[in-house]
Amino acid sequence: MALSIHSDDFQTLLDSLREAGYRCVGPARDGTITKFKPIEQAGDLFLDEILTTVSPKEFFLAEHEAILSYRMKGKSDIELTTPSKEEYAPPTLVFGCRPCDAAGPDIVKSVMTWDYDDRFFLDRADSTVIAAIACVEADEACFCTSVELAPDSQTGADILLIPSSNSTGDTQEYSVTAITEKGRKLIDSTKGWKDGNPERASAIDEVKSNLKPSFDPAKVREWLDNGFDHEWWNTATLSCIGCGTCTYTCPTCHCFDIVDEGGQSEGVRVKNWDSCMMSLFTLHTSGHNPRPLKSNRFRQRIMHKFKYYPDLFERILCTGCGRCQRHCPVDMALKGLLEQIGRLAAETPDQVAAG
Amino acid sequence: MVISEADTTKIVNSLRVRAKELLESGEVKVIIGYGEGYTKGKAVPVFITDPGKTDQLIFDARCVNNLSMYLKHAEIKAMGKVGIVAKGCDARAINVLILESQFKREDIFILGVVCEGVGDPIEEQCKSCVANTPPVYDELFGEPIENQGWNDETFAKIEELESMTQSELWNFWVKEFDRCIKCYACREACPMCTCTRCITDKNQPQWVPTSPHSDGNYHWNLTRAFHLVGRCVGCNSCERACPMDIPLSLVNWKLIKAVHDEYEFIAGMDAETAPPLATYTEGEETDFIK
Repeated sequence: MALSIHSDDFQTLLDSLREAGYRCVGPARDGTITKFKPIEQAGDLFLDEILTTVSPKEFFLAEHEAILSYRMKGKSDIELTTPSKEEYAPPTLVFGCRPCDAAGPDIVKSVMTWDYDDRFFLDRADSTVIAAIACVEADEACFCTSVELAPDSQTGADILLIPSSNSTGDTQEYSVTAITEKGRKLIDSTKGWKDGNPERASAIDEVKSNLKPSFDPAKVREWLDNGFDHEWWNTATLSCIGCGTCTYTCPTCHCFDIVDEGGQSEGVRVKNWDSCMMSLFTLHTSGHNPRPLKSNRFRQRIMHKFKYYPDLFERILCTGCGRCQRHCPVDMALKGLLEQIGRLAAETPDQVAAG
Repeated sequence: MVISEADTTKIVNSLRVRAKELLESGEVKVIIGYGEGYTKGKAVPVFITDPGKTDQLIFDARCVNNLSMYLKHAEIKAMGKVGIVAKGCDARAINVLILESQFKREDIFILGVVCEGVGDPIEEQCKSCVANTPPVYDELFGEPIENQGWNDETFAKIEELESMTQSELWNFWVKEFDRCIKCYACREACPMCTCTRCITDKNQPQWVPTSPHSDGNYHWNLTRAFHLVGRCVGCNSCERACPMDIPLSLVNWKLIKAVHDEYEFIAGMDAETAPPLATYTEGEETDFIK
């Protein structure tokens, strides 16, 4: 049976989620920025923006979390506590993210189950349901169609809401598709959903056809295979200021740092986001830094996303959300750089590494 | 005073011609200026080494970045003598950097540009600019204009904050700093953050908690503030770079006000006046040191 939901029924959904034991996080304002926040009132949902300032990544890979606490009870008696799954991975619905954000955790899961099972990430992925809303708008930073995704792709989503042509001012009806069993279960245990198959808004297909792929990731990967020492890296990355904005707002960047905070009697081991764009990231204890220059670091970021990760997992570590371009203080657009690589690849089909 | 469109075109044309000459003669190896961005409507830093490409240079109110921050990058230093397009705030930052021995005056060629303010609408700090005409340059582009200067509005927001109770102020900043994600865009965009290894990156011991929790965020933002006292030129690069929209200019202008109130000093107006917080004069009061 085809399903739908109307924005007038969001409050019913939210109330029933609470009753069913879920917390709901959705796009909301925080001062002048927008981010995913716990939502109890439907009026706090802010669904009009193309994309929130930060992605919902933090509900899978926390920006900051304690993974272990220690306390000295006696001279040699140490009490160690690890957080329980109930504490750090409560049943959650991520509601109203864009398909590019929904794809993020699904892509990152490959590395989180690779050589080591990251239980913090996996437990959260397990207890979280993602209900994405297809895009009726895109801006020039968007490039999902260049990385095998689309304004209405289902990748990573458990439920997909497709805006219908039935909208009046502030209200909107959506057709609803349960993509996974987890999504189906959530729909079955909550309220606000209705039978019906409202007509798909034409804007979605307009966005889709206007958003032509601007580079071919396979060609980019081929160029990267031999392009490690190419002169291009040095000139293309001169304007990078070396901050972590691109990596921290990215839905797929997943590097973290582990730090001990505390003293002799008690303390916590914490896990924080880290960024390959910062020189400290690779600084060895010896003082040697294998990536001393910003061109080295920028190359690493592109290589990781478009070569190393695809080499290992056959997936591109990028969802084309474009946040790295929107928030970069100097407009270092990843999309633009990949287009440049695409052109370099076309110029030198049998490219041999330069330099 | 308004710089006409014709004058702006003249400025851009003469900048391009001069930049070309400088590169052709070998006097400078690279020109750092502004060009069109990848995102439509944005102006971005450009690095020109080919004399045939100086037509990339633009200058208008979109040229917001303080380019002097690039002078600290190893990649730029390795290129040889730099020619840099500098608005008043960039030029003031250059003065501070010279005063702090980051480089010598003769190491750079300053293409000073008269600037009426950047941003659309015009950014707040530009309405109180003390250097619409750059205080230092090798060659000036545009006719010198009168500085906007500080006015009744310049410190209005700071005075508002100063009128808060201590707990109100604390809550205000905790809320603002809570959004910090420790991306350090404020640090990297700042011309004054010249440390090759920032105190937050020193981890033996870890002086500043790296975590983006309240404690860590407060530590970082206050450390940043303290290091800018008497040095910040108020260019607003940090606030503009912050993806989380933390009002860092409120921190900066509080410092600018304090330094002016105490020492009648404004950073970067020349490269000679000793900076008050890096100077000791015999006989000055030291009884605050217990």
